[in-house]
Amino acid sequence: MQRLKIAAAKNEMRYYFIGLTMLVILSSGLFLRFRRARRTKKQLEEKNRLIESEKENADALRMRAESSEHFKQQFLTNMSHEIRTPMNAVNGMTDLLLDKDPRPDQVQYLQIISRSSDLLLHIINDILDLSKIESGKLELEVIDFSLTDAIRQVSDTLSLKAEEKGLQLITSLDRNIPSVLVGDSFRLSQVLINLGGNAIKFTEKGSVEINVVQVKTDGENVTLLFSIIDTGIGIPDDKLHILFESFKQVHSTDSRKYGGAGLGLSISKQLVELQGGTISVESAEGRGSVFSFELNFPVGSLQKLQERTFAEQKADGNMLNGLRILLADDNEYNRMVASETLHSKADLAIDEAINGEEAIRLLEVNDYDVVLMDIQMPVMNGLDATRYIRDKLPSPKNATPVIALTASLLRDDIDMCTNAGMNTYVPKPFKAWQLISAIAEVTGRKIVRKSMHPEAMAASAAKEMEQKATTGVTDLTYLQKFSEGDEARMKKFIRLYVASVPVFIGKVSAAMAANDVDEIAGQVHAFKPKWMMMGMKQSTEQAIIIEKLCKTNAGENRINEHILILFAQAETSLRELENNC
Amino acid sequence: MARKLIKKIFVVDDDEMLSMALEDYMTRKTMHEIHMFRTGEDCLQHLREQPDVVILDFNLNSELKDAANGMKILEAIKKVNKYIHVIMLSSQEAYGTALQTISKGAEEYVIKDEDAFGKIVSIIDGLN
Repeated sequence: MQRLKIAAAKNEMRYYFIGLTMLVILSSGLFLRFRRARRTKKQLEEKNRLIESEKENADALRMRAESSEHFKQQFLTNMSHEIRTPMNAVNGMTDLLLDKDPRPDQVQYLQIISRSSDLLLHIINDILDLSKIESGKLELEVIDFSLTDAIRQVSDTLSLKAEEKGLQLITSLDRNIPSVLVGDSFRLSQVLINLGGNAIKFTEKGSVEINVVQVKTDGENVTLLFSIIDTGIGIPDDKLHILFESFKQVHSTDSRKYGGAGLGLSISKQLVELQGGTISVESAEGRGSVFSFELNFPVGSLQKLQERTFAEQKADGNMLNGLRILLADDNEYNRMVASETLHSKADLAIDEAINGEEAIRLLEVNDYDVVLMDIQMPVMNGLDATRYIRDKLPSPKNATPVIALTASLLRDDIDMCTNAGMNTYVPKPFKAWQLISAIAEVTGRKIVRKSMHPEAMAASAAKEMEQKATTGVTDLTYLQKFSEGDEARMKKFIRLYVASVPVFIGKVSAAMAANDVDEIAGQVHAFKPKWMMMGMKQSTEQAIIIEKLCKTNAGENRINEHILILFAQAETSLRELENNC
Repeated sequence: MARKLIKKIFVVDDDEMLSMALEDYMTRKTMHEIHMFRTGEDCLQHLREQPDVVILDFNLNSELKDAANGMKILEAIKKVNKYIHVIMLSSQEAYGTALQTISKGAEEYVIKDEDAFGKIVSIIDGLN
């Protein structure tokens, strides 16, 4: 029995031992588990913290990007204003000088200044356009326009460059295309001028052709295929894909030779895509390239087109006679341009203010028919001043029309003007007719255009002749100096001139009847030295105008109007010279 | 090389009045030998007479439509004898055209204004 107890005790001990071991194993297992769990939890917490800080970083970056974008917009708007303000002065002064009857060599210099500043403005606009497109702020106009006119303008813009390089510039339009379409003719022209200009730039000999073909129509909408074809140096295959990226030029080693900021193609691509098309290009190195794109246009109405061009034609400033105008602008040159332009076109009174506060003070004391309000001014800007006028001034002064003179044409900025209570806006730099039309619009004056009937034309030509009759059309100073006082010699030249006038009138009249503008331009051009010899400056001017009108294919009526003036001057000169023979 | 004092000058212009005025002016103001032509073709046919200067109107085909215009005649003259000085005369104030004529060898591009004749004479005096 003792042995059994010991055996039993041994067994118990074994069980205890096993139990204990199991307990130890279990508890160490639990302990390990526990430790792992805690470690894992710590890792998770670490990870969470990392994620949190990443998120904070991302937020900070996003805010910085947004404020950078905002900053960029702000920067561009400010730059736009800073650059446009002095450009306004350059353009305005140049136009005023050209209006003041300069010498022919001065005309040439002024035109070069004018073209250069237009080019500068063009580049600035390109940069702004690109930024607008990229931030989704570019709006397309929806107006009725004539495709033929648009193509003609494109061709005129490009023809000088093509001529200088000895290239042929061809435009061909499908005859089936309706005469009036609806869309953004300005942006379309911009694309064609970009692509056409590039074609000319990279072509040394041969031709550049702008071709438009109607590929589809359903009566209400048409699809047109535009192609720009050149016989230039072509584009290597491996460079085709980078063609449209901003600032990169395919022929980068030749960038100095070919010039250009490289923006044109990129803008063209985006503009085309905005209008619903895609640009494609085919090219063969050494043989030439074809750029093409398809666009849809609804068919437009001729009446609407006429209404729009009527408003844009040279508005006769005299309809503004008698108006009292308040001009508020902090920049002295801008004030000069605006007031000189207005004074040269009409009889009116202009008071000037250098900021919004001064404008308000003047308005409180005097009555004005319209306020021309610059936006950015110190002390009080144009928007605040307008708000004050609308809210705080008594009736009827608070209803004085206010026109914004603005360098920024962004939708948002225009909206701000409207919300401040401004009636309309004029962009800076402006053309004289834009300012006149705007003032006429808000003051209720009707826009008057010189009548286009032949009787009226002759009558107005005769009236102009009467007005100038006091000084006479001929001036024999030059001839006298040239002939060194030799009367016989002078008479010889006068007789030659007198005999050539009827021949001239005959040839030009025949050309008018045959609608041959080239012949008209040619005859008028060839006769210029004779006007010069007889000291007939006004006739030389008319000749230059007629040549330009013929070149730009302006309306038949306008050309005839000026030819009649020229004829009237010629007749008058004959009468004046008769006494000298 | 001594400068030739009396030069042989061809004037090519289809404008009767202007040609007469230019001829008149040059015979009065200078001692040079002046020959007048109404077409470029006519002038080219007489190039063997070895003129020193040709005063060439740019718009030669305003009267006679089939006549070649100034640019072509300029090229033709230079081909025959590149040492002949050619002065272009024109009413056209196109910058690009002027540059093109100079690039084709014209000495100068003179615009037909009040100072034109004086300018022509001083250009000729300055040539050797």
